[in-house]
Amino acid sequence: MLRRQNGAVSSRSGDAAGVPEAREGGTAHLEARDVLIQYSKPGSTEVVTAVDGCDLTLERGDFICIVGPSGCGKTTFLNAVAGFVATTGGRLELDGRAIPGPGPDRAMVFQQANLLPWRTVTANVTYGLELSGRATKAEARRRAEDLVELVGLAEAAHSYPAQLSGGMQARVNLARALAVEPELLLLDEPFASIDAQTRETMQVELLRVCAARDVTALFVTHDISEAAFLADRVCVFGPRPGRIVKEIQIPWERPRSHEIRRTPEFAAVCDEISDALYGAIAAAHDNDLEGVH
Amino acid sequence: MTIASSAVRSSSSRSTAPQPRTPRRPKPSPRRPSWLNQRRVIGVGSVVVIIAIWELVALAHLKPALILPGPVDVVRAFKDLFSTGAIWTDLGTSGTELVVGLGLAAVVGLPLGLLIGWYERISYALNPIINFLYATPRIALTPLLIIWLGIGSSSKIAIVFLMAFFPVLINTAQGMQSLEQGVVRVARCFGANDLQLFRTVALPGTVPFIISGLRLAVGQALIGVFVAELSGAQHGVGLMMNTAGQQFQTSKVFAGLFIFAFAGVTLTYLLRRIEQHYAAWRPSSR
Repeated sequence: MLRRQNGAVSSRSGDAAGVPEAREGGTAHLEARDVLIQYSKPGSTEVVTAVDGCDLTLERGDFICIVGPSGCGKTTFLNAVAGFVATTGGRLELDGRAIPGPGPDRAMVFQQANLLPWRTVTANVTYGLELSGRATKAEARRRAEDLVELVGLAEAAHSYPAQLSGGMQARVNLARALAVEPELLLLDEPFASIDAQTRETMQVELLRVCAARDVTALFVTHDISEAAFLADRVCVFGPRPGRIVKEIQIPWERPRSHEIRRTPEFAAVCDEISDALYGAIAAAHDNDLEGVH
Repeated sequence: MTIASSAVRSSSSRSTAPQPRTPRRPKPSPRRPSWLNQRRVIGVGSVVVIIAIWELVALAHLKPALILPGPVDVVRAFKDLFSTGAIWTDLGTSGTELVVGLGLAAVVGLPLGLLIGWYERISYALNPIINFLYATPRIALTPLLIIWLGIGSSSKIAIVFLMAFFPVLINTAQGMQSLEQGVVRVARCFGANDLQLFRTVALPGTVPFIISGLRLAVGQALIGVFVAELSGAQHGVGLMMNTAGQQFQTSKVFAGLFIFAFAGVTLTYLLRRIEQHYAAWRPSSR
């Protein structure tokens, strides 16, 4: 019962409803090897090392969570994958090619929904498609309507963002990112500003939507139980320098239901993540102290 | 679903299908026509009361009718004004000055404001000039402009333009500069180029600022028309008021005042309609 082996909506089945063309090609995946990201603070020559020696492999269909304390460089790493930040060293490749900059093959879901307030829900969802010009107006609209229904907002399709609750805005945010059919969905603490109950609902919804659309996702969070609930694999990010200190396999099939949160196994997984996390924080702290003495 | 619908059927035997769960907005009471809402009733009522008090004060003859005419006198003055053709020349002259000046201010101020808001370097170049002119009481340029452009309409149009231009320009630039950075980031993330960013984010986001700039511009333009005509003109409502004032035709002065007020209210109303059309998404305008 806990290990939901029911394969009917398995995340890796390619026959998800509503996806017109399944992309062909080799193993589309993200590969990070020994990634180094440094930047200099504006107005000073001091170089900050945000990420150093970060290794990560993401296979198509994976749902990976990066969990780490705030300021550890996990968001910087995500921004590098998105193409907003350039890497200083190491290899960061998508389908075997270095990442040149932001592109339509990756979509980012930010913490703030940042919807266009003068557009209705449906028009917000079509926004990315309009900009890319990859679909006709009618096609974009049809896809948006499907997605709005998928995220459970069919009744609010013609509302403006100001009329929506925070949870509903987060759903629109997700639908908008999915509309461009990204090969890789990047999520930067998308539920951090939502209340706890809505957040748990949204987590289940996210897994359901990802299964329906066969999404590959890289999800950054500081919330241990969120990471454990969502991911196939949780990557614990340690601070100073930012790197992945431990990868923890999560045993449950996706999509998942709330029930697993109440199991002892779930608690054990959360403990394992937090041990790794606090171990990394303590190690970084010790390093700092050594530097002082 | 079947459980739900059978439960509905058993609880209320007449309904055959479950009702849609769409929440309905409470409709206004059906006994009253829609135009007769509370806001209108109170608004119109207060105007009627003020006019009545005014008439009572005038009838009491605290001051001679020459100094404080009542509403009835003002209505009579309107009748006298419109009995001759001269008022139409005045109205036409002042109306043209107002509309052309305001129109020029919008046509020049809008694109320039957008440019200043969009390109930082243009704002660096123009800000000193704009700040200087904005801080100057531009109405004080009237004598100068009359010397340069004569006492015809063109000097009045220039004054109206100068008065109305800055609110439009400054508000538009400010709207452009206060765009939600998160939304800009989303657009960039989806690969928007500059033109797309301008069309889909900057322009719609600036509309409320543009409208409030235009609303301020209307008030400024009316001041411009009036003061410019006082300083020397051949025709115009402001001139007519000035002449009437010198001849102690107080009720005629009031008539002119109402013409100005009517123009301002009408233009403001039109702008509000435009705003409701373009900014329906704002929660405050619903």
